[in-house]
Amino acid sequence: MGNYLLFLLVLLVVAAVVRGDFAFSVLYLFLGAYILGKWWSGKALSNVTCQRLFEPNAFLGEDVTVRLVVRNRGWLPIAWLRLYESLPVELTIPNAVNQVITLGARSQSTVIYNLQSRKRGYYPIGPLFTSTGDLLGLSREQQEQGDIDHLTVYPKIIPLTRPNLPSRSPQGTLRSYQPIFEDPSRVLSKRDYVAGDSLRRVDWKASAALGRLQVKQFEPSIAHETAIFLDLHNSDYDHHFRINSTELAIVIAASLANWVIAKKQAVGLVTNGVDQLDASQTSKPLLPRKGRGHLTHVLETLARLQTAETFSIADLLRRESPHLAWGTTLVVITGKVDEILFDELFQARRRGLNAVIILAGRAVDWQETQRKANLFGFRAFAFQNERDMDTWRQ
Amino acid sequence: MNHLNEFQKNGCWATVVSHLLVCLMMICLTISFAQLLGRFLPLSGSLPLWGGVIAGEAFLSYRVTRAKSPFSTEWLLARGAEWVVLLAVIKLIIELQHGLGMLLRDLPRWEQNFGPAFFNGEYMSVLFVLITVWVLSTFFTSDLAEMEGNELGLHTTLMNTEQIAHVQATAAMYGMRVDDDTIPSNRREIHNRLLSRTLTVGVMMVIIAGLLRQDRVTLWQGQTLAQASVINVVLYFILGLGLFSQTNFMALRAAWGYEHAKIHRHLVSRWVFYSLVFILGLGVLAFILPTRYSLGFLDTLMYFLGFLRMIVEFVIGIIMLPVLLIFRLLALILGSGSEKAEPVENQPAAPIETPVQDMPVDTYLPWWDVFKSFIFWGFFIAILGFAVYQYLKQNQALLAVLRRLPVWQWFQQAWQWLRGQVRTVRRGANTVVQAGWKKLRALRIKPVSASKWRFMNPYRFTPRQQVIFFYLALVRRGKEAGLPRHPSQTPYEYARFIEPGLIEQTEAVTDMTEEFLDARYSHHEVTSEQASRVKRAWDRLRKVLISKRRRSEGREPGVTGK
Repeated sequence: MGNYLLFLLVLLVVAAVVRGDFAFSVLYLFLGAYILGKWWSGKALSNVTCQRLFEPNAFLGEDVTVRLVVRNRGWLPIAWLRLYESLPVELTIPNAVNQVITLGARSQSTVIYNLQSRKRGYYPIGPLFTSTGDLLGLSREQQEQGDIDHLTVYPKIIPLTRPNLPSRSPQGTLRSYQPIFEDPSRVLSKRDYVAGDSLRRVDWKASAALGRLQVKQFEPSIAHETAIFLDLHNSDYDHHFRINSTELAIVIAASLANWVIAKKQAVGLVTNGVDQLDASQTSKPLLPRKGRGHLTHVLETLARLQTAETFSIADLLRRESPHLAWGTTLVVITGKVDEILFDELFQARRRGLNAVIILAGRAVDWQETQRKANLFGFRAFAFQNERDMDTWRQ
Repeated sequence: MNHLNEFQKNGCWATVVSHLLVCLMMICLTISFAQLLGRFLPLSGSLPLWGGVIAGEAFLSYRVTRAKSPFSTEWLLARGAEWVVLLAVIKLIIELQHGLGMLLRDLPRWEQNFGPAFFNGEYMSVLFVLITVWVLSTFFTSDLAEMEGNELGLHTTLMNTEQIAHVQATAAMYGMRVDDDTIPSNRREIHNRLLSRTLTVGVMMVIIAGLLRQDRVTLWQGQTLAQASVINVVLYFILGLGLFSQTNFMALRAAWGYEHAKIHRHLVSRWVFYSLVFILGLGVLAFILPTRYSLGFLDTLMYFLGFLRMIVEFVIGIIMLPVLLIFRLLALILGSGSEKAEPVENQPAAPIETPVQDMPVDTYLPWWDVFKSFIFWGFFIAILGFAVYQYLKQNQALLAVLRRLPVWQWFQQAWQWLRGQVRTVRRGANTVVQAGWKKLRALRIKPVSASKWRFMNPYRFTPRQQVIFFYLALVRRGKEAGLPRHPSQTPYEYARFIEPGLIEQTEAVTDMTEEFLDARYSHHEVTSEQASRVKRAWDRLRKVLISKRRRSEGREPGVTGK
């Protein structure tokens, strides 16, 4: 640019001295080349809009097709436009979108690329860096940075058939083989009144119709209102296997949530992991709810979770378990069970909650943990890898 | 692989086009030299063509000797042989232009006194021009070769040996050399170097053209010379812009290749197209804009100030027009009895002033010339200002020193004051214009006279409108009959208010009120039967109200009043 400026000055002086009209023509030519070139590239870039079209949620292993639509809204054509999309390495190969395109007036170009959902997570797609410049290379390149979109890759879900989660809740949709839990909303049959039957069970309409007292018989049932307590506290896992263990813990949580929702029961998620949406604090608890929509929320949360040095699972239980309804099953997924956690689980049990312990990853002192769990009357499972979960699939 | 081939081919074509452009630029340069030297010596008219040939030869010889180490025996031998051949060919051509007989006559003289006879004035002049062209062409081709020299180096990571050999063969087809051991060069720097070289040569050509167009008496000892053409100078710069475009593309392309960016297949063709349009557009603009001025700077400034004064006088005249008219009216009224001035007769005629030739401001100039002068000086000042701004921007230290100077601060204060004044004037003018505009709009919008009679045909209304119309007529007639509706009264309250005065027509009042409420405040469909019922009720009420009004005015029924 310095040379160019010097040239213009010299040309100006020469033109003024020799009063040469051609010199002024040349001066206009080069000044115009600089000013118009700069204006063109700046103006052209301001008219460029980019839009990403893709499905923002994907299951593990799915291919997500992203259509990047680059539009030139102005009447000025763009001789060259460099596009560079910043993409996470977990989803694609480097330089997947690194192109130089040309756009005519009021035209658009579509760049299509695929993302492979290889790992659960909450991934930023973009920003898209666009740059252009003048044809003659007299002015600097103009650069712009676009917006960021996000892709949520759900954690792996292993279809379970018999997780054997206990429940104390007497009302629900699942048949129970414990006759103590009879659901007054599920009338099974009627029979004649016998001494000792509660008057509440008398069906007065049926009695009037038959002329003798009839009592209702209820179908026993239970509700699996389940709260999954997922431990993502760093120090609760062996640091050598932390990544695999925590990922397995998340897979277990997702699979259980899926199973519970499939049984039309309520499931909640409470964790001490950090949500990528707000890394400054732990993920907010999701109270037990039913339905596919709620499962989506649970899976999205699980997709975004990261391990961190926050607080122990025992603290989390102490803080969140009092808010749970009586009879809720607590599924505690962790890497290590200590005395404090046993104590908290015992307290929870005294409040009417049912506790299940699942150790994810390489468990330390598994025998001891199992012994103590039996002592307290909790069920305990240990899964070192996904294959171990086959016991719940048989 | 196809992508790489495409990439390589594009690069080769860009190089060929760049060389062609440089060749044409060298022809333009040779024309300038020929024009300059032609003032002193008779030169051949085909010299520019030879400039082009020499430039082409420089490109080719550079390609041939590029692989050899500079100043090595091989290199010196090749270059020496090249120049001996060139000297001989140039001499031969010059001699042949004078005829074969002249050559045969000169040959014996070369034997007797080789130096002065062979290296005569004409030959030396032509040689000077062609050597200059050759050297410059070599520099240009060196830069261009440096730009293209490492294509393969960019892609070695992506290619196997077979692919490398294929690309080398493709490049060889275009006379290019592709080394697989070269390091990617800084093409932006080369682009800038080419830019500087082109501009420097261009300035030289401008100076030559300027000198040639100077007053021939002072510079050329009164020689009668034909006006030198400057088309070659302008063409040189246009071709230079084309070269910038090409080299910029090459530099960008290399950068993109280095970063493994995929290039759109239509990019090259569109680049060429947009470059052509852009440069031609610039050329047209440069030719349209004024390049000479009829008025000097101060004269133009005076014209400009005079123009401003004229505008101000016009505005003042408009403002003062009513006052002047009043004064004139007063003068007519008061001065009607005064003596009228006698026409002066037999007075000596005023001497006719001869126009002053040396005052261009007062002399008549075509408006187009004045306009062009405005544009010219405007551009001149803009360019100067831009240059100063850029210079200060690049020399921040100097700017800091300048800012500390009292003169600068004084200028800054003066500038702030001027800006403040302009802002105040602008605001004032804006206020005045807004007020005037409001007044004009107020004049345009004529108030609708309440008493003005407007014909409305209720039979063209919809049933809903008819119901509302008849109810409003009831309210209006009721007011005339001494039963005005208070603004706070609801239709029911008004109905209760007027019913005592219309004892026999209470049913009609109720009907009208009910239908009005239905039509006005509900979305129910209003049928024409409802409208007819309201009309019948209104007809009954109207007669009663008219008679009531007449009674209140002291007239008997049946007596029509005016």
